[in-house]
Amino acid sequence: MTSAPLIEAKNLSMHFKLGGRFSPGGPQVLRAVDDVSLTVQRGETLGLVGESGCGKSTLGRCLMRLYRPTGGTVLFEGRDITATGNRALRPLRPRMQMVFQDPASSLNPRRRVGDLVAEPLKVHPGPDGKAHSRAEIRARLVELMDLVGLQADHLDRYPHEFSGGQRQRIGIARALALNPALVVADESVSALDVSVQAQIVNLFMDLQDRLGITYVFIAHDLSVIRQMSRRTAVMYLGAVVETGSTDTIFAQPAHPYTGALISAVPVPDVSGARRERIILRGDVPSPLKPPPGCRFHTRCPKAQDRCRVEPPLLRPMTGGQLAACHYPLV
Amino acid sequence: MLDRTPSEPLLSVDSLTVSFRTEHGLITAVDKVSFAIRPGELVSLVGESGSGKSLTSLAVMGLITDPNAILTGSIRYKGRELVGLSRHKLQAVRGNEIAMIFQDPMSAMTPVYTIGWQIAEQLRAHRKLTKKQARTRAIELLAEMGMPSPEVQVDRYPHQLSGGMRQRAMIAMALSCDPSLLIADEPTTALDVTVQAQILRLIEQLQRNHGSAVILVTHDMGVVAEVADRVMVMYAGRIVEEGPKEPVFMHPGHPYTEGLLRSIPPMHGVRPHRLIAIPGAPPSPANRPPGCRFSPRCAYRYEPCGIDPPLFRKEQQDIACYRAEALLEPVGVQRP
Amino acid sequence: MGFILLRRLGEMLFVMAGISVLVFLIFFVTPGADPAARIAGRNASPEVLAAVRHDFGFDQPIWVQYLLLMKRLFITGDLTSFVNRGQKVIPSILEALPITFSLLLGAAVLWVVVSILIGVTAAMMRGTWVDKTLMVLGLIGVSMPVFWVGEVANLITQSRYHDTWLFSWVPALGYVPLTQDPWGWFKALVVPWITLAILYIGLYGRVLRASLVEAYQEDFIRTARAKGLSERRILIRHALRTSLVTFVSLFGLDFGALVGGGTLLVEYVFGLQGVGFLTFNAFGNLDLPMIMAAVMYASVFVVGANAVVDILYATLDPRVRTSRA
Repeated sequence: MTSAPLIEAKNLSMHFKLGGRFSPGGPQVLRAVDDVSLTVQRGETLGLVGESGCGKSTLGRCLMRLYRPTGGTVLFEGRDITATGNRALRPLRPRMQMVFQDPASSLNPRRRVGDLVAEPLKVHPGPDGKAHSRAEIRARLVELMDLVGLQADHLDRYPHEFSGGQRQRIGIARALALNPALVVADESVSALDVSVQAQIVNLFMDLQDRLGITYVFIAHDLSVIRQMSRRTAVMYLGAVVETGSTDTIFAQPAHPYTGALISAVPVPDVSGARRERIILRGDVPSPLKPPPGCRFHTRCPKAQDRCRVEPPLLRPMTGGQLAACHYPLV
Repeated sequence: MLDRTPSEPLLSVDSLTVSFRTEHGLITAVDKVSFAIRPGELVSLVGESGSGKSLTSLAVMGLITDPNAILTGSIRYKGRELVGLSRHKLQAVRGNEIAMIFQDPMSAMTPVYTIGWQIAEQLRAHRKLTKKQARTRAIELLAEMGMPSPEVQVDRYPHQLSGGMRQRAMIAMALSCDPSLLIADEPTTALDVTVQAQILRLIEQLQRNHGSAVILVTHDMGVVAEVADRVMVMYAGRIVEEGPKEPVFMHPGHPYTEGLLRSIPPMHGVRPHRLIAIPGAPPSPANRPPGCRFSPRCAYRYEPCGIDPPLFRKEQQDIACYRAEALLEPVGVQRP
Repeated sequence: MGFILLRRLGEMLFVMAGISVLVFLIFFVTPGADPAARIAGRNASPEVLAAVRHDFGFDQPIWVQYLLLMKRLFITGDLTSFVNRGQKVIPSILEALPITFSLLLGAAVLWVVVSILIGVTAAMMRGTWVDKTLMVLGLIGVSMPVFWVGEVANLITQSRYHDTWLFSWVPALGYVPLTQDPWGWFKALVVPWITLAILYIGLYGRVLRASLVEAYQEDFIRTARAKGLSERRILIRHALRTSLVTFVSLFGLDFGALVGGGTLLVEYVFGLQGVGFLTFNAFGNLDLPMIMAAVMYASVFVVGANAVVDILYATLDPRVRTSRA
């Protein structure tokens, strides 16, 4: 078994141009993802966490090649797919799938669950290069429903007959239909009630145990990220500010932003002393005009003159993680 | 900590029921909910989608305008019955005595007016102020909410502010007439976690400084633990557990409360291999099971659960579950 | 702001150039439109025809003819009709303008006031028989052809019931200048105003009701109630104010189109020699200079109305304003 990463991003950037040449103020560039490098090993889960507008979803879409990155490279199973055309990507599509946030809007309400889940099987040929037969499809559908904890007779119903949690199970079944190696889950549990969210988090983890799927798990909820992923990357304004083992990052965050983010999460725990909280000033700046120097310096409690000028690079910290900070917490 | 000596309740809600006439018959969304709020306390009304928590808070404000809604029961504010009050008299209470803030301050503010205009509008609806005085007061309020350069921000439109600043403006507006009760319906749900922390801290401070009682409606047990004095847990249109925060979190009496707390992934300590999830999903108001509404999802279910459980008192907690019965005396009236 | 205006102006010139070329080309490929034959009159000898062709420059390349026409229309301003020799085109349009404006302004006041009343009443009494009746009436108003309404109005006020006390005040068809006799001007236009307004009252009443009903679903209405505002204030300051954006932009576009000649049918029916009437006649005679002038004039107003609507839009909705700034 080679130790080549399943998917790798090198200096990946995704810049969107806003406004035309003739719009007042000229064209603007939204740096949704700016020079991000990361690797995801086979069978592991990488958590991508950050606040709204940090670029985590855009990064996920770049990895899936739903967007064509404006800079850097994406390697999937060692192969450069940065500029691969749609036709050439087709045979790779079954290997990489996505699960979205809102199960209600990503499932066509007029089609039966069976048709929805079978769709990828009808579009893509089997591993032998031949189209799937009806019997094969039916058998696979029953298998998939069992895998995600639904019943075979659910296949004949319509999405609206299901609860939010069940609809998300359907979305997962569809993503799994072609035995993908990589699943990018974009806020897949955020819209669910807490009691149901736990079921779906468990389902994701069980599926990984059984099928060895690799996840890129995108979420704004830190507790879900901590539960799901062995490695975590924290994003702020389009860049990764800290990455490393989840346990290290949550126990001993090095970047002041990570520290503030973790301390800001309200915890359902009334025992013991209240934790010391870092409350950040202000709001996230616009990604159209990221601050110079360190992007976080406008809100950072530890910012110094150097931070306003010199952008910090990711470098190893004592805990073993990488963080982009001149004056880390540990 | 707040003084817990019994005092005259500020708000007492008794057997509040909200139902809707639909094609499929009468659907009861809030079912005989009773509770009391004392002056100056911060009570959290917690529940998942469809639990009826938002409808309960809207009912207190008299904001259920659906012509198909039927509201019964009693809502007494400072001893005065609000149910059935004339529109004119209700207007004098709303925004003045009881104020409300909402989840999404972007859609909750009229897009075509500046925030200063909107705050002044509320002030002038209840106080005899000139436009200039109202504007000055609006700037003061915005400053109190921690808004930087309020004399500039006062003339900005809602869409020109960030989410956190918009929610500050919304809170400034709600507190403009010094209400005795503030109802906050998921005030931080639409915000990022670092901004949520700012707003929660602000609500705490304001409650301390203004002495307003607060009903904080939320789905997030973390938020409850962070700020509430007392908790009311709603499930499927009913309050299933109520009590001071500490005992409810340390020894949850209702299996639903317990399940809710357990299903949250921990932020510290050992990471469980699997989360302890509650099976199934919360029922929609149209298909609520008979008897205890939680029984189909409950691990402790046994025969008596087919009949609606009354509230049992366990020290400071009120729990609607038969598991408590062996030890406890029932309080209140048995539900039919 | 200056930038936006400049861009608008550029757009207008572009649209006008495009339309003029199109009109010009269509004219020359229309069978039987040969201007020389029309100018020379029936049974003209080939020699006369050739002379006319030469005099008017019809023997020159088509693009030279186009440029010549444009030059006479916009620069020297002495373009004359092909059909009524010597009739200058620009003064004719300027003469017709007050008539069209008189007709339109009165009708616009009428339709704005009445449709706001109808829209607000229907929205406030939503679901009741009042709402339903008003909306059906609105639909009827929208469905009735203006031409037909005008003819019926004439039938009633000019002949059938003209001699009754109700309509005896209605003067004979035609226009009375405001400066000459204001009361006569008013009397002559009342019936045309109503005729023109009916369609728009129906349309605007329905649109306003729909956007008010939509506004009442908005969260900010709930906030306004939570603030303890009176229902009257909520209606006027919050619901109506936010619904106005749709209403005003619709109005701007319709007004522009009507000034540009959209009042043609009403002018024709009531014998008002406005711009629409002029255009109608020019098309009937295949009078290219007149057609060209009328079309250019109309496009100025239509494009101009679009620009005004955009500016109004930004004034009424601050969200639009900042996204442009």
